[in-house]
Amino acid sequence: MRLVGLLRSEKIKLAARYGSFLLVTAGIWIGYCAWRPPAPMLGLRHIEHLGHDSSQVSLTIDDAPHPFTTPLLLAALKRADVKATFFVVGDGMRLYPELARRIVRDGHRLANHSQYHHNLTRIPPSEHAHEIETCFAAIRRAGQQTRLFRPPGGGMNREVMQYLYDNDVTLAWWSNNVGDWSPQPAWEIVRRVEGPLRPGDILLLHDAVTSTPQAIPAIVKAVRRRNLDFVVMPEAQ
Amino acid sequence: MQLFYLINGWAGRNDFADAALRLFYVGAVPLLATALAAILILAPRREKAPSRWQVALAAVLAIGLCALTRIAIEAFTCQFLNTEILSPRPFVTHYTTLLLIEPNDNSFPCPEVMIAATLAVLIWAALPTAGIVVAPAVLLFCFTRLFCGSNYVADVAVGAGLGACWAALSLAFCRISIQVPLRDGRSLVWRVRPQAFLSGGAALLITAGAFFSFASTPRYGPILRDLWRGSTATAAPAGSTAKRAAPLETALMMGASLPRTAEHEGGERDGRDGQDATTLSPIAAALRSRTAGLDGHLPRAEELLSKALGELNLSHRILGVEVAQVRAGHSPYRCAAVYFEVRRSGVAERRRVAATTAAIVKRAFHIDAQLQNIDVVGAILNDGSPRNASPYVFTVGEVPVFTASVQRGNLRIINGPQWVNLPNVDPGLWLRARSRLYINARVLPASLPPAPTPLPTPTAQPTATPSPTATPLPTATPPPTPRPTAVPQPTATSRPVPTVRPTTTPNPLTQPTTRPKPRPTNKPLTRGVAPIPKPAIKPPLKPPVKRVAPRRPVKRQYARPQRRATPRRVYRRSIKRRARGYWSTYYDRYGRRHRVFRRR
Repeated sequence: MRLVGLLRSEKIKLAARYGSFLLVTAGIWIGYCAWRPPAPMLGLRHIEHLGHDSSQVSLTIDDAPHPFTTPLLLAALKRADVKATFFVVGDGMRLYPELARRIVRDGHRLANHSQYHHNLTRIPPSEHAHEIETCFAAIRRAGQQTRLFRPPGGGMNREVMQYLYDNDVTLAWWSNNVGDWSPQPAWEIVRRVEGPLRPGDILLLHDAVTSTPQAIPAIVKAVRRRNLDFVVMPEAQ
Repeated sequence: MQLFYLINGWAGRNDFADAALRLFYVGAVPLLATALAAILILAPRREKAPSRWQVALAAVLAIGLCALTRIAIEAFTCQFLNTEILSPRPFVTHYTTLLLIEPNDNSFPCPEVMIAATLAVLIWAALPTAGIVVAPAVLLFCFTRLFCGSNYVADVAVGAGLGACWAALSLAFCRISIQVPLRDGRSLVWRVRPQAFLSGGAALLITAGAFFSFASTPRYGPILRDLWRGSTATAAPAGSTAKRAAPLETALMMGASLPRTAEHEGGERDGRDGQDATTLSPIAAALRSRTAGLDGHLPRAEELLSKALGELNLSHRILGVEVAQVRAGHSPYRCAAVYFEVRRSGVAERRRVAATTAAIVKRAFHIDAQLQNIDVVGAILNDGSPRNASPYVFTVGEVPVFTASVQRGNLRIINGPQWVNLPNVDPGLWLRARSRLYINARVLPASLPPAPTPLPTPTAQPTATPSPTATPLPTATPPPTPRPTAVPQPTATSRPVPTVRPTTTPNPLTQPTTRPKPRPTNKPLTRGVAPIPKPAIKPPLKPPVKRVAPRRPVKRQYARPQRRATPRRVYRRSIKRRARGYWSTYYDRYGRRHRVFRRR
């Protein structure tokens, strides 16, 4: 671009053109980054399965503890000799501390499933800190350290993502949504687990339903038949 | 689904591919937008290129259409499917490798792909050679959405298709045609109008396909089928319409012949306080039993309305007030009916009737914001006492002589209860213009403007005392169940009502809801009976008198349709033509002159 031979008015025109282009470009990028903020999308730690070449399966149980069904679950897991990950609700831990202690004593992992099990997309974003951090504190008091968090109901929007990214919380997702939160017979739960079973699966099961403890022996049998092990959910690197 | 598994299965195996596609995922849309901005702002103006401002306008339009699509889908999901998420993301229900985290929201159709396709088509239109670059870029972007595990195949396909269609449509709106550059330097141009039709049709096809594929899923199929059935049921004519919309006339027509039960009668008697069972009209009773069978009888609204009408100090006695909620389609529709008594006849009474009606309508629509339709009935209470000699035969009981049905939509209200033309000044015209008016022409004709043709004078006055057998029975035959005392008896007695224009038919006025028959004209008389004899001698020096043919009587029974609020759009042909192209002249090899229209 030769600016030397140009008239002054032409120079002004050229500057205006380039300046407007720069302005429009900046507007485009800033607007898009406001609409779809890239940092939490790219940088949020997450686990959705255990890896393509894994020979393990992780059993995760949401909504624990529950006074009726958690003892059944613990008994079934103990009998099958499986260590699971319990995504606990902080309020439940406050209400049933002895159940929380039993979960820890049996060697299972605790992870965060929010304080009150509110869907985080339907509460104001100022409440996210309370919902998440209180439950982390409760888990810490129960004697474990974790950064795993699973949003209740899977409710996740950009505000939740931003919070998790800012506070270095790991998103603990799943790879098999069994759907046992709606009343299902035990055989149906087993069918839904072992049908799409893949190495590295993270199974999403729920507490507070009676058919899940009944289904656990069959699930464990089906998984072990495929030469897969049960592990607790790992922390992200 | 298999394609999604295949593409998503490649993720997480090669670090470089992962990183590159993640960055492309985030940056593709702003890159395309920046490219479009560069073409519009920086690139030198080429020959025959579309105007920059036109392209910019098309871009704004197309992105607005994309946003509108998104809003429409959300509204449809919330309103009709009663869910928040139309189609959950693949990582919610399937084994997915995630390279990026997307929020757990609706994944159909993908808005980013839609916008990317829009931008690509716009870039193509602005600079046809750039299409070679941007088309693969959009395809790669679609692939990336699948690779990173945030959308299904259908989401990106429908998103890209719809985005391209919206872009082509808005380009056609801005009169820019899309060009396909060919290898030999020329380019294939298709015209604007086929482009608009093609893109619009493609968008419609895509939408319909998506709708029917959703309707075939087990989750949404039953809901959509119910919706479909509901809409067809409301559109069905005759019986169902009468049941749902229930305007007064159908209710009246069917109400009198309805079998009524004792509870209904008892309920009415208890419900009315001031004017109770003695003055309760059979029509009101029939209508009440009719509305009681419907899904929403509103006693509270009725109470309010009757109280408000009582405060009005009307010149007629209110016989009954009904307010009922019916359902027209999916929307509730509240209608009211008010009956009042007409005691006298004559011109002044007709004016009063119209003024009363106007006041009732005004007050009712003023106090009840949800009211959609009001029917006002003026009726004569015939006690059966013999009067002076009269050509009219009335049944005993309540004889409705005036009916007006006014819809809220027919009114133009300025500042609440103020009317465009004052009902006090001109009640007849006001009602006529704004309601479905059934004025019994024989009793209340003076509230109408004077008829264009004179009514035929009857040759002979009908006898005032018809025999009971000769009296035509009311069509509303009394039901078999016992009725209150006000039931019209089959043996009708004559009631002398002095009227303005006695007509030939001594028909008792028992059918208020059927339209008054068109007035008999004197045409058959003049033609068949008494042909005008030709004058033997023409008056020689008289200018020919223009014989005005007698205007045909107005056959329309409904109100004259209102004038258009906005003037009809003028089709400005010349400007459009100039925009489309121009006329030019050329001479062929034989020297002939040709005028051709060259399209731009």
